[in-house]
Amino acid sequence: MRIVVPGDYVDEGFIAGHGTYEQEGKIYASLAGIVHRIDKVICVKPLKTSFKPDIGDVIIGRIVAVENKRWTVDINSYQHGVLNLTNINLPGGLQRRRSEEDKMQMRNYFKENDIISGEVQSINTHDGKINMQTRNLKYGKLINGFLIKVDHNYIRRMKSHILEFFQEDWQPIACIIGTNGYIWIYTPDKLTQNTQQSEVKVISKETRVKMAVLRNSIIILEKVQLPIFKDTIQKVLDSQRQNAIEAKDMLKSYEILGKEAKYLIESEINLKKPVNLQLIQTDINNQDFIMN
Amino acid sequence: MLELRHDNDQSTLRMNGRKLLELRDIKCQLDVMKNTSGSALFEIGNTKVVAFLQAQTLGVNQLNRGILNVNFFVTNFSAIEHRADIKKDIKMKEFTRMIKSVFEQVILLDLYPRSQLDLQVFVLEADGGYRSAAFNAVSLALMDGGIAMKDFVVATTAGLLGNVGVIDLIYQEEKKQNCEFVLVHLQKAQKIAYVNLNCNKIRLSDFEKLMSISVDSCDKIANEMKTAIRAKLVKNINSFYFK
Amino acid sequence: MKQQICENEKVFIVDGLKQGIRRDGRGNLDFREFKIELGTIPHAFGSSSLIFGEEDINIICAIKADLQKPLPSEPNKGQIRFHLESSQTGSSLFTREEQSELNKNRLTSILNALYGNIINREELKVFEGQFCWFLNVDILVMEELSLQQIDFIGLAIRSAFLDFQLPSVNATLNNNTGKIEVGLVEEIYEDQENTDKLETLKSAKNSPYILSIGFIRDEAEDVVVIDADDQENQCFDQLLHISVDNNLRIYGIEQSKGRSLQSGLLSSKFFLQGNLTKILKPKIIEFERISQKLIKY
Repeated sequence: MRIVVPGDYVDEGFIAGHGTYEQEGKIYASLAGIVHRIDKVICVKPLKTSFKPDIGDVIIGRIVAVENKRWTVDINSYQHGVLNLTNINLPGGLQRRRSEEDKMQMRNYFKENDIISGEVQSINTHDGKINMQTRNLKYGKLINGFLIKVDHNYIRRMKSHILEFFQEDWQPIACIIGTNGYIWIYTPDKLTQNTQQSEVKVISKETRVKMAVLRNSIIILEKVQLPIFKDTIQKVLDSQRQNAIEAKDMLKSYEILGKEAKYLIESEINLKKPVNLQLIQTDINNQDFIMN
Repeated sequence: MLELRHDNDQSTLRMNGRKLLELRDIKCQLDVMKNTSGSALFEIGNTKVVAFLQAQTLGVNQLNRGILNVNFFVTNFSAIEHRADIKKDIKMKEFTRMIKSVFEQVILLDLYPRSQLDLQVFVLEADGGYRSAAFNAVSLALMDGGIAMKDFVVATTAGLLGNVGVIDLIYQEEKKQNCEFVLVHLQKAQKIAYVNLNCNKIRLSDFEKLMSISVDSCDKIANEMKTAIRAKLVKNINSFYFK
Repeated sequence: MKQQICENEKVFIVDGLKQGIRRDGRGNLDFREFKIELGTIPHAFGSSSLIFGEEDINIICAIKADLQKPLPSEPNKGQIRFHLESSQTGSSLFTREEQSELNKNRLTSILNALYGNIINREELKVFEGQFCWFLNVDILVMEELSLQQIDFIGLAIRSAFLDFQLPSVNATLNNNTGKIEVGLVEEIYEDQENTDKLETLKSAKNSPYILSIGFIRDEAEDVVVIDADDQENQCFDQLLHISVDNNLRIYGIEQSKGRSLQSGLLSSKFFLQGNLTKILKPKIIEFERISQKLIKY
């Protein structure tokens, strides 16, 4: 595993992938990051990227504009997403052709500033336009909750992006983790997995405290730079309960609360690859780091 | 106060005890501000410059190449002499254009069609050499933001105290000397991206001396910057595994 | 990157505020964490740096002083001017240059109104009618400017004044020119070189804080919120900025409307029942405690 900066000589005889460029047959790095080789392609993965959606990604967005037969959605990426009228699920789950009436009543479905959950349907190759869909009953307009934003680099692609916590309580709470870094924390309906709800609920103080605890847990994971998924969030929630730290004081003690989650990740890394993490930590000044 | 003095070993020293070719302490920090595509703080001695990058595709730019915008700002409290007003004058505008033109050559703008890269550069404290510090801060911010560049940009300041070539002047030295030399160097291509000389009259041989000590100084500064980048990458190795 | 929120989000926030619990677990009157450092800019006469919030937003404040002729209307007082700068990194479509300019102008005018007399300006007098100190307070906010930062900007400015030291000057009459001349008073220490004699301002310790209070109308009792963030700010019916010192004396009140359509009207019941004192007093005591720790160093 090599760390390079722009202009560093990487290799030759391979294909120059993302983060590299070719000059006179040799491949040089164009980004500061770690060199990866996949078959014949060499690329450099930087630490930070702006969110690049893939087909099938679950994302959360905010409606920016209502246009002719489509909505423009802010999805925290290099471009706004586009949601076509044909790609939403109509109320009642009807499957029918969109009529002129639908076109006139688009604001009845989604208005400006509404928050929606959806999936990336496709990405146009020639202009990079990102098309979204909310056809699945899982997706749609989000209410009874609030939005938080985290760095999307800490979010992996998972099997299910809808996570539930405090399940043993009377009112569990849930969050939808958008791959684009937008996370929606809300109170789910007990029986369905649908994120789209139609009624505005009365949410009790205890439930709100739990939502605040979940929110702070996610922020703490971002602060200690750990990936955000079910197990790590659960670890922070458990730490909070064990140490009996109140919701509003959680951020002050982020180190204590993040400790267990950190151990979890480190043991996961040690299991996946036989890497000596200690070696990497101390040898910062060396040009190359070799990994097994 | 004498500019140069000799210590016990008979080697020449400058005002704050530095040797002729000695750099001040350098501190580089990446990712200093959230909600930006990339950011960096570059400190050399008491000179502090911070750079923020925001990359966006909002349809303003319809070309097949990215556009780079630079906004360079010297804060009012950065000046050592509180009475000197830092004016947003022609010199500052010119310098902003220089930063823009240097990085336009180095950034692979073809990879960012229909995009806009907005750079904000703030001089927080100006104790000599803030112009080269600005270039270094921008270079770090671009690397932090994952913007593809052909080369590694480093800059340094040099000058002449009397007839002696020195590296990295502090504000008081800048006032007294008769020459201020800024060099921006591309490490891989070993080429000069920008050079600027303010002086009364210097000999050509002195100029060549300035060139060579500056190139060496750029190498040293580049090493400091690389160490900081590596440290940051290593620290975040955990999130790396899950891309 | 500030965004407008939708009705549903507002309903959630307002219901939470009515129950006294906010999205990050704070109560309605709880302040966010902040840290203050004095003397960040060594060559300014007074300076401070403040970091607050989850995103560690940084505010740097520095005070410079110049000798100038006082205004004819105030011959025995100095002058104070505030200058705000921000690192504009807003990139969402909602943030345009105009909005940032509006916020900057609004914040500067609030500062001039509420902090015009942050210290006793007679302490800035050098020679009546001839010379006084003219203070330029520069504030740099490492974030897009918005109204809810005013409390922290106020804290940064106030802390910079705690750090502030003016050189002592002597005014003498030059017999040849007939003009008054000022010179610095030097103190001579045994083993050091001559240094300027510096004095802190006496009125800095009692300078006021700026507290912003947001109001949401409700039939039963108005909901009162302190230290709101951007989303909560959009739910307020009214927003008051109060400049108040540790003796609970008010130096000024400014009003900023919330962004809802039925904004503007406040129920007077709230003020008549002495609620303002009940809310302000504990906050001031909290701030004073933090300030005391700063000076001790």
